[in-house]
Amino acid sequence: MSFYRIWAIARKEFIQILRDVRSLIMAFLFPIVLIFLFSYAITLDIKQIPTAIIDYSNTDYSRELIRRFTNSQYFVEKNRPTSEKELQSLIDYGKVKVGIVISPDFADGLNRGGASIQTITDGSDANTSQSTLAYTSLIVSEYNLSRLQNSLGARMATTPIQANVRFWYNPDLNSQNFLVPGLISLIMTILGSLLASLTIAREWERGTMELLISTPLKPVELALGKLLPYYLIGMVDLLLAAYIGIVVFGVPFTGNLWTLALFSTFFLMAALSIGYLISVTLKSQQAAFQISLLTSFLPGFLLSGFLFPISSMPFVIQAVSLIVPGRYFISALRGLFLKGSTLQQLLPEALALLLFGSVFALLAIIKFRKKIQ
Amino acid sequence: MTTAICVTGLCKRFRENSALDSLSFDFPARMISALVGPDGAGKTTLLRIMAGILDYDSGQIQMFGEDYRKGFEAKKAAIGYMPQRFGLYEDLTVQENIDFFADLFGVRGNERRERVKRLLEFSRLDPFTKRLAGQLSGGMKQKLGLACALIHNPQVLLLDEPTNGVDPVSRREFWKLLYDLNRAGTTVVISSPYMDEAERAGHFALMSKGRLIAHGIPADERRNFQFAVYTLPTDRARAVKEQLCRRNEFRSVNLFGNSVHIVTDKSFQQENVKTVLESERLESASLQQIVPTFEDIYIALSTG
Repeated sequence: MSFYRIWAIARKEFIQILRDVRSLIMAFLFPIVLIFLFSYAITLDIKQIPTAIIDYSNTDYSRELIRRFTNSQYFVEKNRPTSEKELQSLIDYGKVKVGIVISPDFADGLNRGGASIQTITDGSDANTSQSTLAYTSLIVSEYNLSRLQNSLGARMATTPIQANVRFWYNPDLNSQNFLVPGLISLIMTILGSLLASLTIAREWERGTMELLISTPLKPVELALGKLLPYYLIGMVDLLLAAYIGIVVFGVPFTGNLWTLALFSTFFLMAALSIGYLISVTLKSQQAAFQISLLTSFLPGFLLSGFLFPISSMPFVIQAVSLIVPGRYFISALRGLFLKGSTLQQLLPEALALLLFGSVFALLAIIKFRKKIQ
Repeated sequence: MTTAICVTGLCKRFRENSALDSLSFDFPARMISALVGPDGAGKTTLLRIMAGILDYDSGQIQMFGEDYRKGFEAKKAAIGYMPQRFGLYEDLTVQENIDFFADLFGVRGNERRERVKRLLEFSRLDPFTKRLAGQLSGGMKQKLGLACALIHNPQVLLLDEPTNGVDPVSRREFWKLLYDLNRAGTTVVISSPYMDEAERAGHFALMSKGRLIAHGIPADERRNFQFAVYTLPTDRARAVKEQLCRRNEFRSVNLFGNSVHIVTDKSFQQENVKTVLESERLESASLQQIVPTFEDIYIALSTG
């Protein structure tokens, strides 16, 4: 193995990346856009749900209940329709997500101990509906409790069980703290698998491979030289993403930076090897791009636990997620950012990533033949 | 005369199509050999196999007496190859391309400095070292390809249609470079669809449909050609050609500018040709026997 030749390939690849606007955008601009997009626009905490309220009762009791809804940070009253027909049209046109209907006999029912309110939610938005259900029950039970306390006195009306839930590692349940580490994995998947999947295919497509394989260059040297620039770009992206996450979005970083670098190296090895294997196999940039989108990016997005918890997936999908490298990297990243995990605690993740990297790198090098087929 | 590359019974198939059909040929060392034939004759396949980048099905191929199947990778340093399609990086400059191949072949130090300087002068690319390869003209691209193929001072240079699509002036310059190299002792194998390039080479092989149909040293080959060739100058060459094609006395009748070339068996004398012409009421006084051109040989052999 000649380091001279590895260096020759790496330098050439670097020059080509720097002269290609598309590669530059993919390597540097795309990650930044992704981070801002996800961190600002996507919030998993549902707040400020647009709501319409019909108050047929129009009593102190009903107004008190409505105040409790609108004073919470969850509901914002957008409209006060006069009929259920009008409410339906508001929901149909997407003006509001939730409708609360208080019937004319609300106050009477309350005094008899049998009042009810109707909450209508737009079930096409399942997430919001789920939250509405939870928030509504909470507000109604608080209202009940306060009425009990008013009539019986605070001493008599206590709830027997108090659940003290405490959120460790992310006490404010800030979704950015949860998203940013996952985003780092997603960015590296894009960089590793997508960009690397184009590199060999490009040489075949542009006709430069024919000359390259007529030289004494060895397949290992080609692979190392080709992937070295993408590894370095990956590490730059890591620093960039971590910096933006920590400084702009205030995500805590409680682990060790060297451990973070080590994990990123392991993950990049896996992602780059997968991309390289695809590139070596397909020889066409378009096919390589599509296949790597399908085999790396989508699983990295959907099956890695980035947004959707793996533990609530069906058994078969959970089994599939075992072969998604992003799963291990995201778990390690969350540990490093939020929980201050040590390398020892993250050993299983480290070993899994190393295994992926070695297997795919080996496959790619075996698969590459210095011949025209 | 030593042999640089010796090909024996070489066969290569692509699915049902036979690209090389039991081809045998010796490429003499320190000479320029031309592989001539139409598209699809198997020239590129043969050159790729000789460059070690394409597997072959059967047969044998040796370079300076050593078999290709034995440790070929180590021999790649002895070969300079220039593919048919421009194989350099268009987004790299002239200098960067040369440096890249110098690195791949492990050419360094003083040797490298001198060789790069010499190659840039020799290819007249020195004013353009900072220009992107993609912005060079066709002829300059080919010269850059040649410079990169020569950076490691190979013993054997394999060129696949290097002058295709290059203007005549650049083409002549390119050949001058090849003669210079040849004088310095490099073996050159060049492929071309043009007959006149076979005449420029010291040695040639005519290929058609994966087979060798003629080979030898040009002057000998033409004098010993198995057919006689006559030329008939005329103002209406096309009409005369059509007219004579209908006769079955001749092997072939071809158009050559303002004249018609008539190819016959050697036994068929000039007098007989004149008789045929007269029976067709054609002017026969200017009929002349000539040394066959490559085109005559090529057409006669590939149609016959």
